[in-house]
Amino acid sequence: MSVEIVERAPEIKDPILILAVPGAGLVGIIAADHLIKAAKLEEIGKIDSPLFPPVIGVRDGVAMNTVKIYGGKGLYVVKAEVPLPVDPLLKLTVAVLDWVARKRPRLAMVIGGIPEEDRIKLDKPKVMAVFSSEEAKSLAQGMGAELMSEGYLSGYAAFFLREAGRRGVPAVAIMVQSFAAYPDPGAAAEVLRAVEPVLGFDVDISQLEAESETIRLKLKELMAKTVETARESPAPMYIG
Amino acid sequence: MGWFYREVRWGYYTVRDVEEPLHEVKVTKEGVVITVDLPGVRKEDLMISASEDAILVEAVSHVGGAKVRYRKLIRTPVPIDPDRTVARLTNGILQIIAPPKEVGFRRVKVE
Repeated sequence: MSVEIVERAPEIKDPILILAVPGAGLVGIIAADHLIKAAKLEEIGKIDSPLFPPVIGVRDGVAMNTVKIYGGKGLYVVKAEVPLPVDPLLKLTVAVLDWVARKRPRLAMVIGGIPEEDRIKLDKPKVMAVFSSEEAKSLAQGMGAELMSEGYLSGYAAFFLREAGRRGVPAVAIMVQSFAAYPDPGAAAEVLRAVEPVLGFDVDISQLEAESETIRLKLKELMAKTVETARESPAPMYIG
Repeated sequence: MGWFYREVRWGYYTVRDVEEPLHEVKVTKEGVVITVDLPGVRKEDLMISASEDAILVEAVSHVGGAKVRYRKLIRTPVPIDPDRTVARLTNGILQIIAPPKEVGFRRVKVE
């Protein structure tokens, strides 16, 4: 079974790709939502597969896809609005990387949270980055993330970096200390601050910070569903 | 056919009459550690009651112009000492530490 990508807008040249899927603290989703709003990105495509869970979005009585592509300002944001079990998530990642590789992207990013036991005590969670290659690292000069100097990375971020590398796509996994099971707009704000220099335009974080409590309440059920999916499909879900 | 008709509403912002907050329960060497996500709640709007096997959290807040009421009864996995239970609220995250109930032996009189 395949993953189908439908793009309804002219291609963006030398794009940056951001992939956001529900995971720890919903950091990727919150950051992507804010970026889409702040940069006024348009919905330009959709991704679907029979492998995805039988869930649709509904707006004004009409069914909508749950994996969407937004574009504008030299940027593609691919956002999954529902948590995906491991197998569909990996197939989505491969399909997105195949799709973006043909566009010769400047950089592909995955944004996610790393559950931190003492997150409650951290005013400013640490943002960390791992690049797919030296070339990718040099492309992201000025990014406000600490480099993971040495060690091993496993799970979804590792899969993303390896698959991007195999396709010659310069890539980076941006990870931030976050709550595991509570939506974490504070961590998402730190990620956006870190990646802003690479995006090439200003991202106003103030609105994200002002709406932090509303976001936490709004995403409560998606967070609960994400934790449930991770429990049912135990695997590298600690990034997203 | 259970899954076919399952209601799917997560992702939508509909404030219900009483919200059930997200929470986590862990057993550590300090006792039962419970965290509860209470966006918008201040200390004065929060009431916590403890018994030997449960904690009741009730709160009211205003989020995005809407009044939100939270209520959650959390059963503890081991008996706790309600008198030594402490709580702290930081940026709308409530942390409750409930030490385990001390179980002592008493001499039983033989008649």
